[in-house]
Amino acid sequence: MKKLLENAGFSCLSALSVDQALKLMNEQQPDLIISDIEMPNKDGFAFREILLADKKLKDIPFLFLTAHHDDFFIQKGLDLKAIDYIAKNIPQNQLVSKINNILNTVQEQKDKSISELKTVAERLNLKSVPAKGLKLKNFEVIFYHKPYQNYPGGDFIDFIKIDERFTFIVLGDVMGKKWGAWFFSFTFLSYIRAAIRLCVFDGNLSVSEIMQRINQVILADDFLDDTYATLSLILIDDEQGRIAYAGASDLPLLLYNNETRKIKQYTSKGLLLGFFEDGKYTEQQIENETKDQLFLLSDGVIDFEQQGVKKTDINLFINKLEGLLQKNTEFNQITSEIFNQEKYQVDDCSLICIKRL
Amino acid sequence: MKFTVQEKDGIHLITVQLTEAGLNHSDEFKAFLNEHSQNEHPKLVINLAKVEYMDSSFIGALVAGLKNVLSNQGEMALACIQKDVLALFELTRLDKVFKIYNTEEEAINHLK
Repeated sequence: MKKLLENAGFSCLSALSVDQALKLMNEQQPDLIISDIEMPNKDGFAFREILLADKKLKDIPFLFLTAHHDDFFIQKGLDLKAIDYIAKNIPQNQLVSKINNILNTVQEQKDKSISELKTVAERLNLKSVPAKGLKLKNFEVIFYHKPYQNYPGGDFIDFIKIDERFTFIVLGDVMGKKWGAWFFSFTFLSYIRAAIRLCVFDGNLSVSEIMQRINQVILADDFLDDTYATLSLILIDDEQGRIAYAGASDLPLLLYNNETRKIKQYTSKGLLLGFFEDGKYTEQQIENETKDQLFLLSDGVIDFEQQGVKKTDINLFINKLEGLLQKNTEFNQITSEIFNQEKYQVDDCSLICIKRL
Repeated sequence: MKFTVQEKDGIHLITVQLTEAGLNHSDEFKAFLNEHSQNEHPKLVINLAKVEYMDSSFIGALVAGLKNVLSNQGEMALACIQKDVLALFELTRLDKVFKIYNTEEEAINHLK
């Protein structure tokens, strides 16, 4: 059966006993479980009962596939909330169609729920990513953002235009994924917006001092206890063509120099937001010339899954990006070349490009 | 078992038995760390030798665990971090947040 399903395009894990199956699921949770009834030590019904008692595993769609045709067994399986009870002699194409239908229905339900929640969030004006990029006199800001498995997640982006001269660019990442992280991203973003505005009102345009203010308010909020975020904070001086940067446990900024055609990394010293009273934030000036491009990235950009193995590799990303920039590849093309089907996305993925015009 | 614990000279040696430490296990791990840091001045050594990939959810659980340990005037150290995971910690300055040791013995000796 494993071979049949793999030929049909599914990725399968197989186990010869319930204990072995549970061990496999400790590491990786499947989208669907197909179980026989007769197995050594524990049978399929006992397996199903164990799954139903586990809050992480109970909602995974479950099918019994067995040679038993007795009504009693069928009813027992269905009473244990199995989606279906399939005979072992089912034609292969019917089995594949059944699995496809179940997975499609589950996905449609998920998409519908997400869509409803997104609609509510939009009505409440809860946006963690801007609708579009930004065009300034000397800079253009464009971005790519793809949440993990299409669930809203912990990455957040904002462009805060103070006046014709100064604009802040924000890229943050609440540690975690999906709804939990998404929910907190609004609180982080609200504090960041407020701290920036208040500092600017006081005439303070130092990104490291603004970062420290953000850290202070986050640290003081009990609601955010045990929730941490990384942040890249940029201030663009459009009049002078200057870029100032401070970071909090963020990934290095990548500057592509159009003349040398090389990428240079800018690493900050600042620590995670919301952990230490003094986050040791420092400010760096990013020297840039016409046609240089500065990239801000979240960790999902360098995380990927290839042939079932998850990896983190910033150098792989830098090499690929540098190669594409050397061929004068446009941003949209870059993102479609790098974030493609060959590398399965494993986290929210956000990439901001600031182009010096 | 996803996580195991042994007690030795008042130090909890916690071993993460996962190769991929991510969202699916982060809440459970956070609760596990909290469970073993309830006493006054808790001392925890986390052995990460098996972990080949760690995502931000799991790092968040480690950070939350550290904060909890520190709030109880305790100490926590990480040991045997694989190269790729350590590179991520260094890249994001988390190596400045955690005490990191090459071996479990070094970590234990430091916390004694």
